[in-house]
Amino acid sequence: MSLYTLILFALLCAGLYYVCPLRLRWLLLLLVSYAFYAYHGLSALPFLLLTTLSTWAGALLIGRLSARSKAELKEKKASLTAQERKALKAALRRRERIVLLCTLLLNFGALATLKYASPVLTLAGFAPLNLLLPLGISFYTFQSTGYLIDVYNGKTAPQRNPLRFALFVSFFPQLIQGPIGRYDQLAPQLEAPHRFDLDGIERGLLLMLWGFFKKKVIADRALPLVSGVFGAQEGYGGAMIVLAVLGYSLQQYADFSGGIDLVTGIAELFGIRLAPNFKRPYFAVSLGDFWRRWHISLGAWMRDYVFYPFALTRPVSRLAKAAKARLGAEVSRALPAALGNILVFLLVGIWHGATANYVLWGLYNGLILAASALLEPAYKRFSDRHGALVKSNAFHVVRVLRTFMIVNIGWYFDRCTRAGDAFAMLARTVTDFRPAQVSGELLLALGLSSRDLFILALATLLLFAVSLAQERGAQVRAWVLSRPLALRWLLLLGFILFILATLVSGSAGTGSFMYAVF
Amino acid sequence: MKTLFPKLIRLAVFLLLAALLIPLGNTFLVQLDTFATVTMRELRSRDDIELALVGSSIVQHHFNAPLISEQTGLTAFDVTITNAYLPDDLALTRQLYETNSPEWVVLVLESYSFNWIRTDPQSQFKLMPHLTNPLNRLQYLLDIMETDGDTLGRLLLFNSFGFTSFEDVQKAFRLRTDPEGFLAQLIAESGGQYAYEDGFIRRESDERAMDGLVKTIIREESDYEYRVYDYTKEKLLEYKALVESHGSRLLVVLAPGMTAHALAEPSYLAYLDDAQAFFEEIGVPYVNLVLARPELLPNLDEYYFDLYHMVGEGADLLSTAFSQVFNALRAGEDISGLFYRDSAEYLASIDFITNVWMEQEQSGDSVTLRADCNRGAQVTPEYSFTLRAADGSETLLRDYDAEPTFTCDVSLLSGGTPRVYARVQGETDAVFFDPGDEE
Repeated sequence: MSLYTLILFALLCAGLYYVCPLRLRWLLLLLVSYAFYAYHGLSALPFLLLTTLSTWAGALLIGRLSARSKAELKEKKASLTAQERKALKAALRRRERIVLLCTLLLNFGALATLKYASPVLTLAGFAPLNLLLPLGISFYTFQSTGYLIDVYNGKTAPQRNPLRFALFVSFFPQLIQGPIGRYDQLAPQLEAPHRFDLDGIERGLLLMLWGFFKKKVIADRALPLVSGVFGAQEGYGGAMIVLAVLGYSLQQYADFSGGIDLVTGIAELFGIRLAPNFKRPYFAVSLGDFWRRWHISLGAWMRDYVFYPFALTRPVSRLAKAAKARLGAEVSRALPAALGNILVFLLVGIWHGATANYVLWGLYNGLILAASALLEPAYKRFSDRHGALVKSNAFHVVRVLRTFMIVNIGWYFDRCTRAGDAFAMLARTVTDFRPAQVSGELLLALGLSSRDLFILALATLLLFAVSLAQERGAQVRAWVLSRPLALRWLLLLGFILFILATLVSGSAGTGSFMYAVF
Repeated sequence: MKTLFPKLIRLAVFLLLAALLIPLGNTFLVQLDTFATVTMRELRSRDDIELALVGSSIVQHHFNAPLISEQTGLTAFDVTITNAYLPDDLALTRQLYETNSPEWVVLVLESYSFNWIRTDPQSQFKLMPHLTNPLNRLQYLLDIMETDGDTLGRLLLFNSFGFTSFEDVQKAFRLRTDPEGFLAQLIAESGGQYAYEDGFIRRESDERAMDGLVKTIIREESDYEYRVYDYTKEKLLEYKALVESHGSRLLVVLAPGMTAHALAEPSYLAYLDDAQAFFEEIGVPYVNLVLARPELLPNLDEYYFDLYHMVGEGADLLSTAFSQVFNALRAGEDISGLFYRDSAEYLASIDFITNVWMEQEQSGDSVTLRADCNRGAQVTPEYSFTLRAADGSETLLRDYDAEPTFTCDVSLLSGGTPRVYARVQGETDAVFFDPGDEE
């Protein structure tokens, strides 16, 4: 489905939503979500249904087992010693854990088969299976398994109605590239009969417009530079490579966050607020800060369902204790977080793809974060000693630039399809810079005219200005919508005209979202 | 509800304004074509056109409107946009009717204007800013959207053809405020190579298509499929209905091209025959100037400054021929004697060679040069091969002979570039070809 079709579809669905009787609105959302999914290929529907039904049934079973356990414990409470009660509780909990693990295995097994069977077979010298990855499978798998784990942990009550649960898994704006929603935050909104709220719809439309601008004016315009250089990296010196990496930084952010703005805006047409997924990541002062601002919903999912469960396991605790004696208390305290970060980013790397470049990208981020965790006490001491310097604006800017550089080095591995290419490009960045290669003719040959460069610069400047204002606490959307009518319309019509005049239309490779393939 | 209704009205007004940005952008934010702007501006200001010649650059360069006015006694005007195809012709004609009620509308079709159903975006950007009637704009937009799948590109013309530099902005401003002055400056800067009047652009140039004829253009595929499409027929019927509904009389003229085209692409003539059959079927009078006898129109390749367009001298000859035929038709006279009966008779009449080419094949130390040429059906060609050195001097490799191939040792060609000459057997005038001409 093209971007334009998606927007038209969303507007049509929003129209239908508000003419539909209040109590049936959630059902309409479910129907249009499945229609949306079916439009992308009927062959992907069984996977969505498998995840939905298995997670719904698994959670329900866990809920019933849990209720039964509580009742049994209550019944036998008087007749058992504390030791016996603990043993019984553990035995009952084991049954829930088996259900949990089976359901997780089924869902992540399906995801892993579809994502990794072909690369693994190729690696082993067999013919690839050429399986098509269903749209949004990662996102709905993460979202539904998050719900399952919450039910297992007793944080959420299981949903009895399979249709209501199906809506939580399949809500169509999220199916493309997230964000990964939490059940307790999203499901009540999906089920609530939202009344027509024109102000909310206008806010949604404005966010959609902003996302559309990021995607069609910035991301798609930067695409030829990035694909051109990364696709034939052997011919380029360091200067062009740096330009392409910076282009990729811009393209990826504008594409992903633009897409998220668009789907968040679409959700707002129905009165639904999705979880935020970006918070101006390139203003981050450290790599950890960056990952708390980039793909927030995945980061939070990893934190809650991988990082903490791992860092709090007995073996890690024992390892930390053992380290205390040899390496000191500071290292001992930081060790679980350091190991947790390495594991999380290794998994995130593998989630991006089962290739060496992604694994290296994950390890690169994980190791830097681990080092940061271990060096945190030293940094704290430095901060205490040089408080004025650390609090200065200049130091802040240096930290932002340093983080930006660290992130960009990581992008070499993220964007290259082979790890060897990433190393070669990194080497050429420092040993064979060739600044003379950056010329108007070369950029034109890559598909970027001087007009494109001018538009790209102007649009990036606008994006930067808005992001800076937001970073300083301004509510830009609210500010625009609260201007006097004439000024507001002038601003909006001018912005629309700018988008229409500068959007990239119809050229090859544009249109689809980068993260839709994950 | 009390507050919702005004808000809804407000939103509707805003969306309407946002939609109006598109025609606004397509009018004021696109680059302007000089001749299109001047012609369309003049068309809008005129109400005295009696004979409208509608079409593409072929009309613009071939039909000398002032001369035709003089020779027919009707006020003629070239209603043109370069690269125009049938949907553009329809929009142009609807614009013509905004201020004029011509007695005659002459639709000039070139081979390329109705065998290719995709309307060129180039013509859209030249024409769209000058259409004054919103309904005409809409109809035109729907027409051209139908010809290809690029709906968004067509709708957002100013996205593809927007200003790319400050010079574009300056040019658009000058063309909007003082088009005649801008044109006069352009003509002065061209050293008198151009003249403009009543939509007609007179080109005076020493350039000749013959100098640039290369085998790839003339002998091989031209990207055009010679077939009268159903879509074309539909648009021609629509055109006929448009003209008739305004009380004008329609005449279709099939414009001539270079003889080399007719020789190189035989299906082109068959396709013209099909077109004629269709005009007869729908009852539209037509004139096929491709089949004009030399007494009416000496259509020599040397009159073309490029592969499609004539210099002023050729345009004068063609315009005079057209006026003669037009006057005869108006008077109800028989014009059949002015034309060849059919394509076969026309081809048989061509007694010269238009162009020659050569291929080179090497086998071991031996090289074979193989020549061929485009020629009239009755012509027997003979070829001569020479070796041309860097200083321009030529050494004869083989004198004229009907045998089209020449084989020699590869070392013989090391001192220069081979060249082939072709002439009609027994004559002295020859055409030649260098492989370097292809580059």
